[in-house]
Amino acid sequence: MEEALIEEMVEEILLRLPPDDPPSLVRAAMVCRRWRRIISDPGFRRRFGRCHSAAPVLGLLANLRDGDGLDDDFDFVARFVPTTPFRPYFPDNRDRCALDARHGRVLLTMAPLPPALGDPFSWNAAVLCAGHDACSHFDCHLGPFFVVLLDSNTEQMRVHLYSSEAEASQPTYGPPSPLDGVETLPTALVGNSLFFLIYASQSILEYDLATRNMSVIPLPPEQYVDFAVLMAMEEDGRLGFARLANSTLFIWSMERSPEGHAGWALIAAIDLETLLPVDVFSISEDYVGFAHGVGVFFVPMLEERLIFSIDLYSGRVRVEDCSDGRTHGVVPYTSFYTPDFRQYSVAPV
Amino acid sequence: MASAGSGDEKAAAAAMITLISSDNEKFEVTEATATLSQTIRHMIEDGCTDGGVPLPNVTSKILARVIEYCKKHATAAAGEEGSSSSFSDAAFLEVDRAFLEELEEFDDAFLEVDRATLFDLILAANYLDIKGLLNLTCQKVADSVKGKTPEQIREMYNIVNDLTPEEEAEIRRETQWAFE
Repeated sequence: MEEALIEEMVEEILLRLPPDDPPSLVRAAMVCRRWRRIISDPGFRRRFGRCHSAAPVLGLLANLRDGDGLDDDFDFVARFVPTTPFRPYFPDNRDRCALDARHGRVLLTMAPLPPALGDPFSWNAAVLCAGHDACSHFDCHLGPFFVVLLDSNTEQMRVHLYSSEAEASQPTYGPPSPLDGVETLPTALVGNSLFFLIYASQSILEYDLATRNMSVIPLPPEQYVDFAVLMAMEEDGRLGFARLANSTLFIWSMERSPEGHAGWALIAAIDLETLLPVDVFSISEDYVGFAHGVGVFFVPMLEERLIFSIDLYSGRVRVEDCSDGRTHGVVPYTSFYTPDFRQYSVAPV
Repeated sequence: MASAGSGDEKAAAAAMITLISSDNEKFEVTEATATLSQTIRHMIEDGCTDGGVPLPNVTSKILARVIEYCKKHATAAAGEEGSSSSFSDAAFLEVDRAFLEELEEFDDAFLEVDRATLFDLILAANYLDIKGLLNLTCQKVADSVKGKTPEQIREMYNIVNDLTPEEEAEIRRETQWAFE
């Protein structure tokens, strides 16, 4: 193959290795120096992303508490639970809780919070690439990023936009703050807007990243924010809302009237008892997770270490194991993985 | 090649293109078949196909296979164009599905070649800029690499390992999960 194929052709072949099987690329990168150089090239990562339609779910951050159970001294852990063979350097993030993950980054907070930082249910935060809609997000995970923090500790809700590159700007003020207002659940990014679930007013807060305006959107009729998750439905660019109730996963899609008013359409009601290979009493309704862009839901089992992943498109159901601990929430991690082994080269290649 | 005779034959021949392989063999194909290659399409658009299109990088053996692929897929492309203007009748959809299955079977059978031929097809698909063929052949090689160890891949494709044992050890240490 070395003589037979020119470099571009070898790359054409390697670009077609499956993104949901990261070991394939790692092993290929160890075949010879030429292959290692091709795969380690920053441009390869971008082209690999372009070649495949959506980044796979490499795993999920499970927010759980573990410990020996003897002294009731359970630790908070944000644990990476792999859904592919890929493993991060630090799978267990002790005394941390995962808030959000997007564009290859995970946003963690201290857990439990120091008292000075206030009630954990009065704020929430999101992370995103600073380039956001101008970037393909194939190769931006080491670049500039934003953290958007929504806080309801003041009379009006506040959004702070932090940039990895610049000083924090003045916060933006929004609608009046309900007490214990913000639900600490992952956000959804749809187009230019970030969407947060608001517990106290049972609504959704939209923050427009371009105009920095905030607006309030009602939930679908007779729905609540607990056991719910917001969805970025990339195929049609809409906001989705899913909620577990009566062992059924209800999925709603937001539609805007010409005047800009938000309305909801129920687009699916998935009977989990039929779909999952267990009886209804084994399914928990404590939380539900959603991997944007690939349409994978995560539904907990009553046995707290186990989680079902449900692929909406293929219908595939799998059980993910968090090992020990009681899981109380998940943040899916979706990203392409391409190895970079340039640093291990002892001679010029 | 037979020379054009009557007027009718001339009209039919007008849509034909002559491709000339590196070993000087001539292949007469329809324009629809030839233009699956972007390279040839551009040459036709530039009006430089009179007297045949020389393809010095492609042997007659490989060109025959490439033409076989293009003929089959040109029919498919024509079929798609036809069906897009027609209404979505169940019978039409049934025909489409059967045809797609047939095309898939053709592709599978087409890839039943030895490794050297497969690489020659990749090079020809790249040179002639035939997207579907390049994708098909590269995916075939990628599928054969998937799930294999570096040693197996080297053996399969006669690749010399020029990494030092230290470099290999570093990679293994860094990404132990990929070798379990």
